[in-house]
Amino acid sequence: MKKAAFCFIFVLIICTLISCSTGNSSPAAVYSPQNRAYVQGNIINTSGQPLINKEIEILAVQNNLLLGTSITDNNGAFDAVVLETGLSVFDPFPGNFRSGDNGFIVRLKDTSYRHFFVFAFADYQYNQDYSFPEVIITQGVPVTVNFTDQNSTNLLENVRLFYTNSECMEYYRDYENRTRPNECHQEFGQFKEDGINTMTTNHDALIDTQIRLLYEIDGNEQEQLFLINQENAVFTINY
Amino acid sequence: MRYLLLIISLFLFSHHSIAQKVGDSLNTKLNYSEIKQQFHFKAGFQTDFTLGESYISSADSPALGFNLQADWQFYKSFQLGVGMFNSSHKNLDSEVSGLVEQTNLRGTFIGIGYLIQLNEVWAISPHIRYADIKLKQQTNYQSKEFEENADMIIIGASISYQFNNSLSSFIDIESRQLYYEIDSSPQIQELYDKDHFLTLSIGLRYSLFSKNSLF
Repeated sequence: MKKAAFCFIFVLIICTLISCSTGNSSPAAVYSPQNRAYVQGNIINTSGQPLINKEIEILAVQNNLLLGTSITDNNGAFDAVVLETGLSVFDPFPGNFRSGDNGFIVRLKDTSYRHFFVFAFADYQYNQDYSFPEVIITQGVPVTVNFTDQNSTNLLENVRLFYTNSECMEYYRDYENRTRPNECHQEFGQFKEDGINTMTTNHDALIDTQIRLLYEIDGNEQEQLFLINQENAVFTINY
Repeated sequence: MRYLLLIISLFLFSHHSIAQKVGDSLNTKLNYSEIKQQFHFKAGFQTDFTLGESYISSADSPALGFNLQADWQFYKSFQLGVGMFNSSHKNLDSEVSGLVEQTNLRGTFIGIGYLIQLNEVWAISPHIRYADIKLKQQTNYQSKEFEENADMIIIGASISYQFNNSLSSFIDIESRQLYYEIDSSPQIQELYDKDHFLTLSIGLRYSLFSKNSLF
């Protein structure tokens, strides 16, 4: 009978060990256990129309870890239950004034949108509701300019293209927009390579802006402006 | 794998070391009035039917799993039980669970029950248990996993049918209340407060008997 009791205690010990085990076989946890936050926001386009049925990704500012996803509704609104991750440690002497910030990055899964939003908080707390301000998202498109030599006698040279980059990181700290000028819609310029009769922008050009094309034909400088939109991003220069 | 080894080792160990000692007097016919202590080792499969609209309840239902337990009838008809169970809850609703798409619920419990012998072969044992729960959360983002804790209160009854002196089959019917240890934002607090399951288990029970009283 003592052995039966021992058997019972054996089961008890096994159960205790199972209860105390922490699952060593699983990969190191990157999410912070026992915590959940809730975020909501609203996205419209530059025409003021809601962005409908678009997949949203919500990431952590501190390590770019995906915390949650959502889909915008007919009003451009989204909400999500999001996981949490480790927090950045406050840096009393930051080289970058944003070091130590924690919060969320909101971006579209559609990579044609290179405009994303950072909602950071100096005093971030776990397990809170976050209601982001309504944001206006911009979109870009690669622009191509073709050069057609009509009579093979004119000399085209010194071709330069200037455009507005669609990439933008809009940075809100404690709901205050602190985006730096060099972080959003920078002006870019690039030269056409010799011997190639086409050039495409290295970055997507911001839709609803103009590109400026400067070039010289037989030494005469000329300038042309083109309005960029979704359907109109390929232009031809005849010379 | 470790659970399988546990079942096998429990079965072999108990069978060889104990059954010999008590077997002689019980092989013929059980006389319950003479039995002072009983040990039951149980292994079975379980299904969790999720009720409500909370976190794990948003998963596919029923969820399948298994359980192992040992009951010691130590005084009159009172039983002390320990054991563990494991069930996998798949396809959680992303609006409720976020990135977590699957939860593996592993519990180790201790509880007390009361055995009521209905006749020579049928018995019923109402019980109440406390379980320590580990929730192994699997996300749909690069299959990243993490573990969270919860507590569970189990109230139910086990109905057993005895094939012979050692072997029985059992069905457990239990109401399980799960209390998450998850801090959540006020907006979603209701989803991460508690959950409710109706759990059915079916399996086999191996029993040992003793005429010696503990007290």
